[in-house]
Amino acid sequence: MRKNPVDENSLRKASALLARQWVAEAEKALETEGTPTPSSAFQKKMEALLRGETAAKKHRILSFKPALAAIAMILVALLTWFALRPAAPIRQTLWLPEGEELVRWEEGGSREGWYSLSILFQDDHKLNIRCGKYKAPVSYKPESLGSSLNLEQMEEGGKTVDVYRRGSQDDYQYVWMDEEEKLYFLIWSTFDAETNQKIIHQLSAEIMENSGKSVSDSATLIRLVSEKTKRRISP
Amino acid sequence: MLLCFMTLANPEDRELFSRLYQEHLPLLLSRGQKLLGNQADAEDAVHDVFLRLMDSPERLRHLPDNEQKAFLLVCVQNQALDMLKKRKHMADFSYEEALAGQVYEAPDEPDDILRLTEAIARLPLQQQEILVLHYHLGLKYAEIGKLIGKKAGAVQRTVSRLRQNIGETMKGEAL
Repeated sequence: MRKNPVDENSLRKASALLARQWVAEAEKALETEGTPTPSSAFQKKMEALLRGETAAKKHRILSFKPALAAIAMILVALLTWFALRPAAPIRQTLWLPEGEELVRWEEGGSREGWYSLSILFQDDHKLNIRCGKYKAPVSYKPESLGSSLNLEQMEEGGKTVDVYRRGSQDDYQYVWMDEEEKLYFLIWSTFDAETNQKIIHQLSAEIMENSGKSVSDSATLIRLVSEKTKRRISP
Repeated sequence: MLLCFMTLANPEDRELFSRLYQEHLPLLLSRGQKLLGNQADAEDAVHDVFLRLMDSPERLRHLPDNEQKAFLLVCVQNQALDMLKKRKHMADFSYEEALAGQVYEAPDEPDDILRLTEAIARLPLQQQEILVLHYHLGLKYAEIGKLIGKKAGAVQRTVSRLRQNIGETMKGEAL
């Protein structure tokens, strides 16, 4: 059991006496031992400090700490919001025909060779995107797609690429060959031609924009496609 | 940040620190030298104390002149203690020796206050300083914590524990 605490008033008096004794003792030592002569380096340093020069530097450093902490907290908050925010409705980012709703999406393929993403809509409509190494499925080379191909030049995202289009209302394909990156993209869907064109054109443009020169390997690009598409699609 | 620069730019504070430096430098250097054993370390201690106090000049601003001197002295002692700890010279350092020859003469004070002062003076130096800073100089726990590098809660617990211990010691001595 705790008891016998000293009362505050006595502590005030005693600590005041102690402080006076310290001062007295220090003054006595100063008298007996003589006044120390500060070094010139110390005097210069102190003069700078008293002018506020050194202190200003210190203040800058000290002030930066809370500022950095605040910035870090804001960044963390932003990243958290970005990671946890509800997936943007696909309609906001990808044009869809009126009344059309997303049902689900599926991934396929292998990371080494190719990647595919199937986006399933109502009424059995489907949008597929497939990305792979250029040499992988030879059948997707433009030459092998037959005479129905029409070459188009797409100028999106500051980059011009050749896009081969073929298909009918039920099977409408874009084949996009990226010669530099040795990648192919095959995009097709089951919407009507006009709808396909809008969806695919937009998606292709986004992929192109994301797969600029900085992307040096297919795995990265495939991941980009995957992540970008996932962000737009609610499972 | 702006507030800090405004504080630094306050001419009254500059004048205050310049005056304290001019008036008390020999005393502070002498005290630091006695505790640390050499002048270079004492100069470092004094410099660091001024540097730290200039962060919060309000602590000194409202103290009477004689208490400003005591406050600076306590700060230099505390800085010397920190430096000794960092340099791991504690094993070779005795506060009792450093404070030897200190005579507590206060004929105007009642006996119980003298006994209490002696009891406090037997504590380790940093604990003495905490009590002086809190009870004599009126610093809040957080302010003391900032000076000695501890959290306010830890300082508060230390003060409370010291009060209990001193009280029990004095009661034991009285018996």
